[in-house]
Amino acid sequence: MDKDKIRDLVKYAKSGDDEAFTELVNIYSDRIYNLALRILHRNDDAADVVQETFVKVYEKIKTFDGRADFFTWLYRIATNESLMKLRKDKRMVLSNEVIETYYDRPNSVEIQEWQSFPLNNMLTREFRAHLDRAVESLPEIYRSVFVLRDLENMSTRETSKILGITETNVKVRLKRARMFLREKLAEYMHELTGAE
Amino acid sequence: MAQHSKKIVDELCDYLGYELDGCMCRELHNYVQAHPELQIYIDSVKTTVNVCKEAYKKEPLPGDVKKDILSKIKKRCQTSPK
Repeated sequence: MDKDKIRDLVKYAKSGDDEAFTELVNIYSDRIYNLALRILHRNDDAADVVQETFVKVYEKIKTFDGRADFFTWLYRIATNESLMKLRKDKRMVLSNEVIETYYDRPNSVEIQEWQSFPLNNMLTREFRAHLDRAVESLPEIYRSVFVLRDLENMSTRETSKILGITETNVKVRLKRARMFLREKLAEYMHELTGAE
Repeated sequence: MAQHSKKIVDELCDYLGYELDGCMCRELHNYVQAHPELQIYIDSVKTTVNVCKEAYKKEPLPGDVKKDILSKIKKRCQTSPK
């Protein structure tokens, strides 16, 4: 993305140019939609987040001082909107304590080689449903880091700025999220091979 | 340090999220050498991340939804303070 172009669009949008604002929506709406979809797992909720995010950006763009990257600022708003929606959601998420318990016993399931499970074979409908449940059971503090770092490919630094936490916290939460998901998938693999 | 083992240590540092100093890395290297199953574990964490990347690939915002959102944003913005 051309940084100069974005800087100009932001400058024009700040001065009330609605065309420049619409151009920003067009440039970023897909990315915001995917970020929200990866956090919320529901298309209609993700679409709502896109809408709410850009309405907020429209209302607050005059306060954007340019110290942070526009993209980081936008992502922070979208992540907060997604997490607020997640908190209102009735779907169950595990408590932080449960995640820590998983983290404390990372080798509880017998370690086996996964190379015998090609990636494509792992993406069956049943497996996907299991994966969705595992990701959805991650508490928001872990899920947001996992989505930003591993799915959105943000750096540790960018993630820390978006979430307003230290880089060390990003690393710790990411490690726990990965290990929790790994354990959940290992349980599934174990069931799969045990049933053969 | 053998190339293969160095790769394991690099992956461990990367995947387990710690920045280690040289001494800690050497210690880890020795530990991995004594426990080859650790590489299997690291591979499984890596596979977990790759599976998630594959399962949650980017998808475009459907055209009609985008149009709808743009018109809703316009309406909301007309009534919002700026």
